[in-house]
Amino acid sequence: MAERGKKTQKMCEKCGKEFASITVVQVIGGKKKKFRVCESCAMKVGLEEQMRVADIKEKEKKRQIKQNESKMYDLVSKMSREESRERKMVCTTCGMSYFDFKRELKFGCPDCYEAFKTKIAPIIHKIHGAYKHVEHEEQLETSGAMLPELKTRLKIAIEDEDFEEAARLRDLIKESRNDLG
Amino acid sequence: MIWDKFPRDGIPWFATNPGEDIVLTTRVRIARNLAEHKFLTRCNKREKTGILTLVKENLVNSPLGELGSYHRMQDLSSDEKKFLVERHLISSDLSASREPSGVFLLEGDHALSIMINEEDHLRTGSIYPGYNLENSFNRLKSVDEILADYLSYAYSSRWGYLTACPTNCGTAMRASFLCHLPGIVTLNEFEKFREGLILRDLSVRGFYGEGTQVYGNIFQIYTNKSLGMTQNGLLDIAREGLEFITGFERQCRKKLREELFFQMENKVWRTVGIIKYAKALSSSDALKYLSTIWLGYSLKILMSNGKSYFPSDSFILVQPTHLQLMLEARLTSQERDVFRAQYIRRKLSSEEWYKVSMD
Ligand SMILES: [Zn+2]
Ligand SMILES: [Zn+2]
Repeated sequence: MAERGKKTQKMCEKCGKEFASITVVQVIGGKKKKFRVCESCAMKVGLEEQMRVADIKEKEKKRQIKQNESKMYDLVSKMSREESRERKMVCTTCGMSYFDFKRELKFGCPDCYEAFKTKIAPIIHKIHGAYKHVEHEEQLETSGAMLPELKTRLKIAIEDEDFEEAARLRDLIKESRNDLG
Repeated sequence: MIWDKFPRDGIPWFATNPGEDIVLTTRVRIARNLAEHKFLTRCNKREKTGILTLVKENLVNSPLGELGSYHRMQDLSSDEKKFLVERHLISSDLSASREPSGVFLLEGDHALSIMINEEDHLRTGSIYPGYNLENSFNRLKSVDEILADYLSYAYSSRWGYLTACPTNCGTAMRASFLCHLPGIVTLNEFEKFREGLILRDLSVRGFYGEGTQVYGNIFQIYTNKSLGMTQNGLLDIAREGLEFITGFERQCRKKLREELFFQMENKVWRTVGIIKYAKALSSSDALKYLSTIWLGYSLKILMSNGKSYFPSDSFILVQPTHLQLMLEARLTSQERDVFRAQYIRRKLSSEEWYKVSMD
């Protein structure tokens, strides 16, 4: 009975020395596989599996850190590229760079307005809600009669890369065209 | 001494218009910079002196020269500078400056000043009592036009008058009001009030400008945009803003009178007690109590035989340097507080106060 029992009892698929008493699942080459193993081999498989999982986690962590590092690096280098661009944007009259202006928030001379125009036009627009000086009341935006003026402004806004203002002007032009029929 | 020409016991431009109980003063200022010159941020001492001399010489040679006096900041004593700050004729920044700078003071009512080498090369300000936007602006404009014949300014058709800070370009003009707002403060409505100001392109700050504290419920409220509108457009913003301010404050005072009259009466009469019998008053206490008394007049809790209206120039006259000059003596701070208490009693003719009979 015992002999028969032994014969029918499967041997451990890992060591082949002990009777298999436990079914374990192991991932090999990315594929799940079932094994009938003995108790001591089950323990080993478990440990291996644990280590494998830990190893994967470790690797994943490292990969993420690396990725973040490179992201940070990208950001920093982008910032320093931007910074060096801003340092190179210099008013030839007074020597102030746009980078200086961003720290001091005051210009160095009247010509700075022109030298930093593309950068400051959107900022000034945000501060004042207007993009251009108005000396006389007639210059104020009114109706369809102002179409040529609006077009000039649109041109300036595009030159300034002030696209928010450009979009607004484009809508105004559209409107005044509609008004004209 | 700079104050020899100033009347001692009263400020002509600060005298409250009878019936005016919210706006203490109206001030309009413009900023100008010389063409072909760097702004002060990029000038060395020699260049700053050059600008100062150039402006001064042209000023003195212009018709304005005979109408006022020019002073180099470095020649003024610290008391003189404090005096001018207390009068709102120079900024505390200019008074603290160790760089070559100066001020031109128009004589007569001493209500127009030109600061040279403050943040911009020129800052000309005109101040009037109560709500007086037109007069204040017209005087400023005439001075600006006179000077424009003598100095050439940095200007572009795109950005208007070019100023050191882009927040001022365009007309480079700003209108501001000193407002007494005890109703809004008492009813805790300030946040809501400020939201209303923001919608109207107005900002608010303390008694003596940027970063200064609020004393006696007095706030400086000013227009915060200068590009994209004409000077008249800016005056319109100020006018509409003022309507909002006075409307809001009056609404609050009405509520105080209708719903909290007993509490207000109690507060005002307790303050009367303090003013009548205080041995000494600090500057900040004085301003607090002056505010309550003024509100007492406005809510018709208090009345005086002597004066039909509250002498609002006391808000300036109880400042430390002003008291010192009135006595022409150096005072310890305790002596000053004692004198302040006496002075306020006299100034407000407190012995003549009586209760308004309720109908
Ligand atoms: Zn085994
Ligand atoms: Zn420059």
